[in-house]
Amino acid sequence: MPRPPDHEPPLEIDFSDEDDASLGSVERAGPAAPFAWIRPGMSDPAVAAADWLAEDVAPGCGSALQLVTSATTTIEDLRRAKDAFKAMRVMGEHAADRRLAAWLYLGTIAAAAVHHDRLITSQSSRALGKALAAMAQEERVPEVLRRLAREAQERLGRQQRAE
Amino acid sequence: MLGRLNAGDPAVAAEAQERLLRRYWPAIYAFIRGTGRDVHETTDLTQAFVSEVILGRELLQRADPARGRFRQLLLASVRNFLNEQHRSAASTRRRPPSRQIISFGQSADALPTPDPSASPEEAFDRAWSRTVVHSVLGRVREECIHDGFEVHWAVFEARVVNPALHGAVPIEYLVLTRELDLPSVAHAANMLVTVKRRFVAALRREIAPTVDDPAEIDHEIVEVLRRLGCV
Repeated sequence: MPRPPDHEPPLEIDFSDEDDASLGSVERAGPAAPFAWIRPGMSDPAVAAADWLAEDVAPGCGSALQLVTSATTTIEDLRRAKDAFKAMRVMGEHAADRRLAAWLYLGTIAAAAVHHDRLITSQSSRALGKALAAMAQEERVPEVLRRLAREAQERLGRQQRAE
Repeated sequence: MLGRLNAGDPAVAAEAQERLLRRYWPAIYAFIRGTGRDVHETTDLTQAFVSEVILGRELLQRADPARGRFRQLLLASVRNFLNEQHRSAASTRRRPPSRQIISFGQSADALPTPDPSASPEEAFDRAWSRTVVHSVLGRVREECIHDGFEVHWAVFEARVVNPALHGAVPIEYLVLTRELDLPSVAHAANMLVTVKRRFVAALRREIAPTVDDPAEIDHEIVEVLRRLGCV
């Protein structure tokens, strides 16, 4: 995954949607080897941080990107991932962390819409559509996430027209 | 660090020497102990190796960072030293005349415990790995405290350090959230990530001087942790 540059302005995403209290834990797995999270090729600190969070949410998922974009990720895991990346969006030490977290956060919402036909955010359809459109056009976002954003955008559009 | 030994400044060289000796003392001890010698003989021989070979023959000063890993040179030197000892059982272990033997404050319970299934070389590598990880953990802890990240460190300690060093079960995020008065589990998970990243960065800095090629750093890090059964 390309590393988001530090100087770029963040995507306009509303992070104010309420967390589901029943999803208080991002943790699901039992204990693993204490340093199992250290792997070769952790050259990008932002990606490594996101991957560690993803591994907390769904052990064995491979990476944050895989967790968010896989059609087999459960809706519960997407909600947990959304909470984790939302916190990373605020707590990330560097701009690159926060920007990547913003993409992944929005990615979880898009994935829930595309793969589960569920809306896991309280953001307005208009705000969400705008954020998805921005991410779909952002060239630095991994293509698999951009595609997901486009699909979610189309799905939301169809729903709005049907209503 | 080897380069600083020959930097010309005696104070810098002395500090570098002491740091190197502190880092490698447990590994030397573990290797000798791994050959089947008892605690007392191992302690004597370790001290003798340090005084005769490392200090007396200026092994550290003669080591060329460009000619392979210092650990391999050290390992070969310990092996040769033990062979010399074996050939000349009557040889006396003398201190170099103008030097003092450095005390490393190794209490008996801090010495590496021998693993009967491990070869002396494996014992050496494992002890060295343990020293590296302990050193890095200590440094990261100091950094966290210095930066006001005491709670971040507490999460890391509960989730990673205590399980790694003491075999403790990692404390669940939900419990930590309550105990440390954190706003959410996701918050705790992100605090852990912050310290994980610092730990990896510190480990990379520690390992980098011990490998010939920077591309080997990641592999060596995993090897260090594998030797401790932590990955």
